[in-house]
Amino acid sequence: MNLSLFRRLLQIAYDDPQGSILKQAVIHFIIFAITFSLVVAGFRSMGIERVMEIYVWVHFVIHLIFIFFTAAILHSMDKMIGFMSHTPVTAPEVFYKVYAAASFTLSNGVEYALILIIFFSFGAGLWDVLTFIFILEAMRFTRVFLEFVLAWFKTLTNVRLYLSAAFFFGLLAFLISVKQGRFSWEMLDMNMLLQYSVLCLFAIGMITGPYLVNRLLIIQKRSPELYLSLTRRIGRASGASAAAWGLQALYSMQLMRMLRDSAYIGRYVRLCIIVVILTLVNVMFLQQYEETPARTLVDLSYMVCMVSYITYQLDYGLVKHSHLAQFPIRMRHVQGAIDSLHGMLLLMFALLMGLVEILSNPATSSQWMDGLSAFGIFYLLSIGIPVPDSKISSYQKLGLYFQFFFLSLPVKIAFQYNVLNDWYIQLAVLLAAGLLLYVRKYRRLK
Amino acid sequence: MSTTAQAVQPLLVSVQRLSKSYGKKLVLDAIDFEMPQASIYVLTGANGAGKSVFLQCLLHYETIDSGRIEIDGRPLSDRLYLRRNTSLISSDQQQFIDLLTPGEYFAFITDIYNIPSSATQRIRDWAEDLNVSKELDTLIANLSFGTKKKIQVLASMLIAPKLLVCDEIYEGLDTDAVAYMQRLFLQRKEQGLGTLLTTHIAGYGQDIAERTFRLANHQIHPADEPELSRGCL
Repeated sequence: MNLSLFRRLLQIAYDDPQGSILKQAVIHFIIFAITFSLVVAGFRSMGIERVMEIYVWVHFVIHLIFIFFTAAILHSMDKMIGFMSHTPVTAPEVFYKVYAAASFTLSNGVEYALILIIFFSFGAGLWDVLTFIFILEAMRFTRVFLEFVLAWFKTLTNVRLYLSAAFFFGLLAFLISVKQGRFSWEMLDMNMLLQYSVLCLFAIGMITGPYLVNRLLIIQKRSPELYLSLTRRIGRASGASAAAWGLQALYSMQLMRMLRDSAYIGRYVRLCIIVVILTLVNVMFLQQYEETPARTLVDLSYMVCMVSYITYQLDYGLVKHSHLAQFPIRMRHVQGAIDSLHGMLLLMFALLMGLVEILSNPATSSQWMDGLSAFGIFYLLSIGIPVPDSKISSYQKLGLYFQFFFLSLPVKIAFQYNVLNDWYIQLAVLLAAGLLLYVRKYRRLK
Repeated sequence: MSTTAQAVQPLLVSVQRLSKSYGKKLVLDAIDFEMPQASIYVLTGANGAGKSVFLQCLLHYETIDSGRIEIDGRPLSDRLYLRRNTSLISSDQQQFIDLLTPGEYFAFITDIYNIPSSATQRIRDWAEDLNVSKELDTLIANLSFGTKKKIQVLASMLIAPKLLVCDEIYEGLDTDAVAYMQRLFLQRKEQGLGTLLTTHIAGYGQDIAERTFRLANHQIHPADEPELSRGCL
């Protein structure tokens, strides 16, 4: 099948028989090329290398916008894959010809002609110009490859979750390198980073692209057996601790469901990302290196509980989403199970963040105890504020947020000014927070 | 209109002057309804007549504006008794089970309702009968509409509640499953248990039901007239 016939198929697949999208792209790129050549002429003093760098970045932004529109708004690739799966076109043919159809266009021809004329007239070397054009084409190829990757992601369940988790671990690794002083902005050569990323993705795309399209053409829904079995084991192991109260089934099943619930885990990952970003901002811009580990751990506990309060208590409704009211279980037990399991998951994250913090500033056992006590107090305060079951307005949310703020801020200040240093004072405050939780929430539950 | 059951058997369901509205929209208007133990009752009504709302109110999944409801002589405020002795099969009530496999769900039910562990074998036999034994380790969210309903049926068989309420039970089930369900309801009646079914397709279930009612104009009426008990509503 030749390229023009494939292009016709693409137009049918995109439901664009008049080629309006392509026409817009052609017009866009001609305008872009003319404008940019004028800019280049105007900034002759910048030097050819700098112009090339800027040109690559402008292309990068345009490709990003293109990916956003095709993947999130037009869903072009999904439509195309759906259409092509009913035609006798092979997977490698689809992959390479989609790229070829994007590359061999009039607008690209005009653009490259302008590049050659302008750059040679500025005295650029042949090798430099060819490398430059190769980078631009590699970027286009990478864009096409990423569009296929995104289409593949959409066929997976919980894709946002996986992406968010990957982003979180990337941020965490970055935070660790910042904490250990291995990073400085001067070390980053963004131009090199972009070019190497494009070249890496180009190589990966060349190798894996056809296989990816083949998989997309015959895709079937995957069954997450491994995740099912993993969450079942974690649930059973955690539920064993509640066996003494006869609540093993409730605890193990609820934890299992929480870990499988993409809405819950998605919020958990978002919470982790927010806390890591806040910590990064703190470390990089507010210069808190001199802080004591105890104070850092208290601040961290406060941040985790505050974000959890906003994300889960105000926005999500943990008990409502558990759907446990349909079973003959006391609501007090339901609330207790959810509060303790959620608290346990938050504590795990707080401990992970604590470990990252002490990489650069080791803490003593008593400082760890201060951090843990602070976590317990802030968490009890955050779950102790009664939130209505019905949908609440933004105004009510603000009021509820201020309740948490006014309850927790004095405790945070007390930790900051070393008022809560002794273990028995911490224990007293912890008990007071527990009592408040019981009076305001648990006492009325049956 | 009041629909009073025969006085010989003790009442399983007693509804007096039940009213429910959403904002200005009145759904149920001073409904009286009674159902004895060891019975099969069918409630019919057009789409949107309020059948599901009635069932949700009956089992306390929805609050009521006024009236009084008793299940087995106990008020709805006795939540633990209500949940232990009733069960609802409805596609609106599946959010809980979606994140579990049928096997995990049955294990949970067995623990929560203190059902003897010998039930594990029984549930496997029932699953075989309903042709879902291969699906016991699949996430319920990934199962088909009909199979999800069968899983709910199996859980209800395990619980064997005094009152089983089924909302549009025949929807999405194959012919064999429908026949199986009919046998199950008759079996429950023999065991002294009550079953209340709703359907918007007249003719489904009425052949095994003692009485059929119709929910229309916010009221429940007996549907003993021949033209109301057969044919599409």
